[in-house]
Amino acid sequence: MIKKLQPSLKSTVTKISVITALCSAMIVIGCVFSYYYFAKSIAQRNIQAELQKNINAHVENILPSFLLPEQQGAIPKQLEMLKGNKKYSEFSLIFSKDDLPKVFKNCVLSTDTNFCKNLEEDELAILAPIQVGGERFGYLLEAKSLSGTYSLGGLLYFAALILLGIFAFAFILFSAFRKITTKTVPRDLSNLLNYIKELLEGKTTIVEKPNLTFSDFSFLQLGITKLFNNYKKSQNEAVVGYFASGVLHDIKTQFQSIVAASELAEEAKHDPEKYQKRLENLHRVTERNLPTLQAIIKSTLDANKEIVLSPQFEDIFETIENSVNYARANSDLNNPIIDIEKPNDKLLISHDRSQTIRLFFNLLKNAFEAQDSKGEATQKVIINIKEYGQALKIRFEDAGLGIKGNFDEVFDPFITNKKSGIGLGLYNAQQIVNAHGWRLTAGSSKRLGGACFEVTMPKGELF
Amino acid sequence: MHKLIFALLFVFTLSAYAKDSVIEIGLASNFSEISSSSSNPYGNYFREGIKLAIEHKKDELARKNIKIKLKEFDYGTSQLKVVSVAKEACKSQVSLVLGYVYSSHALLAAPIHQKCKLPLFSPSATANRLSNFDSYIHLGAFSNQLQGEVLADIAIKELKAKKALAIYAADCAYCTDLTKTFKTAFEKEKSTTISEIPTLSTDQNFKEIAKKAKKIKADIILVPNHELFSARIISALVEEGIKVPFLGGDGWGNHGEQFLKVLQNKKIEGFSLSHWFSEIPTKENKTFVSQYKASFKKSPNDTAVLSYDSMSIIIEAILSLDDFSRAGIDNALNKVRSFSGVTGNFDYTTKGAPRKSIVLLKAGKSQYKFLKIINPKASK
Repeated sequence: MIKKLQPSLKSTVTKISVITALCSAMIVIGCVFSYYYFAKSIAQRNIQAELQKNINAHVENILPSFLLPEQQGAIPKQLEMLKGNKKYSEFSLIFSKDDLPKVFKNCVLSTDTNFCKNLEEDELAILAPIQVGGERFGYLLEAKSLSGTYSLGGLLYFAALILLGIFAFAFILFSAFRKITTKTVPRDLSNLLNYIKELLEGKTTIVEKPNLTFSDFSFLQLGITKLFNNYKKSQNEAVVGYFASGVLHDIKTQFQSIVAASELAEEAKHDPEKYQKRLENLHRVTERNLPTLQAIIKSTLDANKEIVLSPQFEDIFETIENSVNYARANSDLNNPIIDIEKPNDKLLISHDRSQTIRLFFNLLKNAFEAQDSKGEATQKVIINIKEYGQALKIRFEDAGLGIKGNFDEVFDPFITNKKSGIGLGLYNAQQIVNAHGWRLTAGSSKRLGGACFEVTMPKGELF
Repeated sequence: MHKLIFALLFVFTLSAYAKDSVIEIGLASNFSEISSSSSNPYGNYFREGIKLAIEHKKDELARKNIKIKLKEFDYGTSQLKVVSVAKEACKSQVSLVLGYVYSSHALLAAPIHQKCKLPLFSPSATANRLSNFDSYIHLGAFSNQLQGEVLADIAIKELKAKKALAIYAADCAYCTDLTKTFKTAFEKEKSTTISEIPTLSTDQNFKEIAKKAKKIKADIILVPNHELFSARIISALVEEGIKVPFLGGDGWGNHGEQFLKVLQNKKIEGFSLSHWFSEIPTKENKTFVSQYKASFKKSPNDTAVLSYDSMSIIIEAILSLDDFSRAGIDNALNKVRSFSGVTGNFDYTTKGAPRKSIVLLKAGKSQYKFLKIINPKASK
């Protein structure tokens, strides 16, 4: 039955309602059995209280008749009057244990009032001494039947009370749960968030300032974080929009040089000497611009491409070596110094080799570009690899300009402080790291004075 | 000069010896509750009779430098409280206790007083058993024995009854005691029979009793209970159509106003005994009634006059005393052989209750009527 219900349980509210209904049904069934089990003890307790309450009055009424021989003739009459009370099944005067009715033979005659049951345990009796000072004249026994304590009316009443209690409790629980899990921001918070949003948008004429009275800061934090994320996202989206046109403009610029050189060559077609020179020029322009064009297109495509990994357990150091070689081959720098500090010769890590090469290439390229921007004659990059328990940390330190401002913002797209570069390299690196489930952090290099980027990866299985 | 000094010394010595003797007397009554017969609401009549007696004897007491100090002991209407009050009185500084106005109260207190040797004087209790206490128990009213005999005599000789019925509260010591003595006296006569229907003082509905009584067809019905309870029973009997004469003891009171009010003008033939009647034309009675009215702005009743006479007896005994201890007072009371009071002559020649004259009353329209005074036979 539960499996059939599962498809229909689409919301938490529905789940709670069903669970409450199931629990209530179980509790009601439990209560019905409990009623019959406990009804007798409850009835016994009630009868006990009633007997206790009445016995003192009865003893007080009958006691004076014992005080004087002239009044003792009233005792049978008083007993007869008590017996006439249909509420009670037994009224007896007891002077010794032999006077006890057979069914109450197990009762004890003591100096204090006490209770006892008959042999079949369906009657409850109270035995009270009739005494004044130290003189005891006898005992008064009152008994009442315990049967007939169950009734349909009583059961229904009992069940109704329990059900009412359960639903009241469930209602309270449900209301509290809804309040906790709802993502609705209270009105005062909405005002506050609108206020912050307007500040972010640079509006100076904010009329309604919020009057925050709600003190739940988790909601506040959630709302503000969401607001900023949406703002940044919308900003980046706007920026992407801008850069999309920018990227096309760059591509167009690159193409225009090639197109212009090609047209010049075409014009000189009737002059072999001139044509040769213009062809050589075309070759030079193409050779110069194509890589740039390729880089622009590739980076832009990478930024929008979903990264799909094919991880394998391979030697991470080999991957780093490949990255370094690729970076050297594609660098404009003259033999940059790349020092690799590693503990072992081989370490198998689950990773997608080609994507990881791209990751490390982006970091190295970033490091090269940073030093190029600085105008350094010699560029140096240190790659430091260290094992920390179950994690491996790979650090890329450069001697460039370093990171100004918020370290986390360097991974945002189109953020760059370099004279060359679009600002997508670190963004792409972050995407590859996220796909692997690793961590990429930015910082400063104390050794070289520039930036430091650290990739942290687990030594265990990726997925 | 010497003679003068000597005379002064003598006078001062004499005055030292003539210092007041303070006798503390306890008054035990239902001060906090209205009695069932309404004859002694909040113990007022009882208290007033005593105060009047002390007032009348103040000169004689002053001559003997005796001061009487009163201390009240209240037991309400609880018989259990009577026992605790008696014990409390025993532990106190009182030399004597005057009170326990009902027979049941006096019967409960008597053994305690006797045990602790504190004299008890009951002005109005009539239970026969009280006369059996050897010492420390003194009575100011005639006994149920005398009442029973007189009532039986009236029933047989004057009402010519052969068959009697007694309807009495079985939880009332006075009621059962009087019934018993009436029965003994009535059945002494040949061919007389008596039936009994016991009830309880807490009963409210007498219809069943009236039906039973009707079936018995008695010649007279004895209703020996306190005033209002008796009136309710008789009212139910009359409603059932019973028209025989009704007899009652001193529990019916001396005035009858409340009794007849309960009957709501139902005409009955009713005879009762009393200690006193306010219009008895004796000098002592007229003086007492006028002085009581002057002091308390109301007419006295039998409780007031009995406590007045009892206090007068006590004062007379005290005036003859040198020893004001409990034993001394008891001895003095034991020596009283006769006393002439407002309620008649008290004859203490036999042990226990005094032999006194009894007043026979008849139920009238709005109050009792005086019929005659019955004098007891002289004791041998």
